[in-house]
Amino acid sequence: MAKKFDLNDDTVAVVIGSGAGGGTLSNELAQKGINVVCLEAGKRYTTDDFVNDEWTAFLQTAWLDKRTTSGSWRVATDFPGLPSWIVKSVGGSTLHWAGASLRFQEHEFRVKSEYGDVKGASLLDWPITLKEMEPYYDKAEDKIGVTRTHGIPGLPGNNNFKVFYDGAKKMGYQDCHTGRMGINSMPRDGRNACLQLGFCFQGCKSGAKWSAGYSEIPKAEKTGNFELRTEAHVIQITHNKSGKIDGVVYVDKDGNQQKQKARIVAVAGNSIETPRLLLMSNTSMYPDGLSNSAGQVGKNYMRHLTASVYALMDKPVNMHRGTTMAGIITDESRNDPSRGFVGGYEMETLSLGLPFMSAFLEPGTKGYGPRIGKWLGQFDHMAGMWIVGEDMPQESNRVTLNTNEKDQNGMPVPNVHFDDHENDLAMRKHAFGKGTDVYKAAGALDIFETPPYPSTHNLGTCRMSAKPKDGVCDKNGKSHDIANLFISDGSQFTTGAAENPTLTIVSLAIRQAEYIAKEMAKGTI
Amino acid sequence: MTNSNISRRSFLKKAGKTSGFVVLAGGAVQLTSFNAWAAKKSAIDKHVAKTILLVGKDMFPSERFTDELYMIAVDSLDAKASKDESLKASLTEGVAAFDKAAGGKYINASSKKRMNVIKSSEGKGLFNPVKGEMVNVFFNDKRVWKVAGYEGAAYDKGGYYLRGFQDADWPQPPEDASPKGWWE
Repeated sequence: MAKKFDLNDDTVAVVIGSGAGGGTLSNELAQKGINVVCLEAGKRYTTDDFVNDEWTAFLQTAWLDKRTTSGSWRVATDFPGLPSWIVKSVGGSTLHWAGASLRFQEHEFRVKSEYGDVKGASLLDWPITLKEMEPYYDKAEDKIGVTRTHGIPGLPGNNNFKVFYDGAKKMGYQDCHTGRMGINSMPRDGRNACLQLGFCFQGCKSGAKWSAGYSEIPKAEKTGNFELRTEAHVIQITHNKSGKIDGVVYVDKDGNQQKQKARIVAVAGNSIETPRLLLMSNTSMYPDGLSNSAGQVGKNYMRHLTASVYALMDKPVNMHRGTTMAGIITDESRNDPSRGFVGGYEMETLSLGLPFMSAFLEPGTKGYGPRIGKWLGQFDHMAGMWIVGEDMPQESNRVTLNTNEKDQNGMPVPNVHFDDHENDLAMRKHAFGKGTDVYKAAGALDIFETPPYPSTHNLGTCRMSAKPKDGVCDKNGKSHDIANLFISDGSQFTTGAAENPTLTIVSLAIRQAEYIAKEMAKGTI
Repeated sequence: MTNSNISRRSFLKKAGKTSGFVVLAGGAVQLTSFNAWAAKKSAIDKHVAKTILLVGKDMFPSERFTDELYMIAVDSLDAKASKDESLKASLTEGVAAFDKAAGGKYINASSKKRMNVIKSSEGKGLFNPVKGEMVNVFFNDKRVWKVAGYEGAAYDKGGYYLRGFQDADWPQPPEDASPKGWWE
């Protein structure tokens, strides 16, 4: 029952983006009887369209619109036009997420209180607690079908996990298992069980992995309250004379500008596009962009610590067989400042295929030489893990408009500026050491410490805060400045925590849908 | 053609190589497949082709990669150069610059010297097209995957759940850490 709404229908909720935040919010609102128009910049791909090939899938699904970078992070040198690796497609980056679905720890919602003042960091407590989030985490886990929750068994571990587990136990780590994953270990919710394909990053062809694109959007369409418009790239959010949001302007697939009227607008374009859109929507009433009276839009960009540790083992591993993120060690995720840094990190197995490995093992111009040749030639002997740690928010790490460069629609491109905080550097050093120890314990012949790839976890650029002066939105994702404007993606994150963000984004979207429905019923928005 | 051909053949036989050419100690290059290079409809000349091959091999050397495999990058660049005059010119100029930096011919220089030439040209000249072709074409080629042990697409083969996703020779973790699969 695909519905079509009129461009002049000013009763609809417009959701910008169809990923973990926007796709979930759209479905949750539609289920509650609210009319939703979801505008997605990308195309719609189904499981039939996904390709088990790294470069083909990358060119098919990655967000490759022009962007620029600055700052001392290595990504700016190695990938100056690609600060992030996210997806431009229906389902957004849930198309290529690995599936790790971890709740934040209690203290991670109040890090300012827990860590105290950290020089150079713009830490803040979330205006929401774990206790308030728990019912929504529970709903999100049920929706996604997270393994090891709701009676869903864990996934079987693959070869990469066997090596990882062996090293973890020999190291004395206590908590190592195949993780809480948004990948079906048994058929559930109309989706298949995992066939251990690998290629989790390329779109799951078996449909075992939860993705907003085929899990949420079709359910929303069935309600009859929902319209998805693909290749609809929003370039401006508009407001009326009183300052309330009244619609959006987007470029459709034929390159024509359209204006969709709206009762509310929820922005979920991932943490680079969301602040960019607010900044591009500046007017004489809002000269610094929408919801930016505190000057916080685009600031406090976080991307998680990230690093990878690869090992060359003495026997064949074949890590590419089976789930990309097959297991986790959580022992280092605690906050233990005696390690020389605040916050913690998760260790999660990760594999890349040979095509990506040749580009990313040692990214940039340094990625060649006898050692790298030897490693790539023995791809079948490699094992690997990814480090996901809490990075420090800093005001100077930010998304701004680069008015010297224009995108395909003639709009200023986003510039992403990032410098590592010294806490990030200390944590990464520690994590490299521990990752090395794990693989040495499991028999590694050589270890490769791989620096961060283009960011997959982009967070914090429109953060929620108790006080309007400290952020962009409140605990419901509602703009501090404009009552009918919402932030609905990872941009809301006050701080990043050590865990992969998707489960928290989905939980916040479920919670936000409840709030919006309630307020709409009351007539306050 | 003779003596050198014979000695090459005997070397090839002795080394057990089946590919078109080998790089001898000290950097000398001998190639059989390149004998036909001039007759082939090629954009780049034989010397440029030989040099590109060796640069690619120096960048990503592995005992598992035969010289025949490295030809993948050469052939690919040659095909592109046949449709792109500026690429053809830049490859020729790039090889000349590498030769100059090597103080003679790059392909005759010692491995240490060759690595220094590559290092000193990181991000510029011949470095970029060759590294780009190695990463984007060579390592994306199924013949290379096969010898490196990467198996590629899995969906059309039913995934790995019945095809060795747990066959690595490390202890099987206990069931609480790694439960049995749905098919078991």
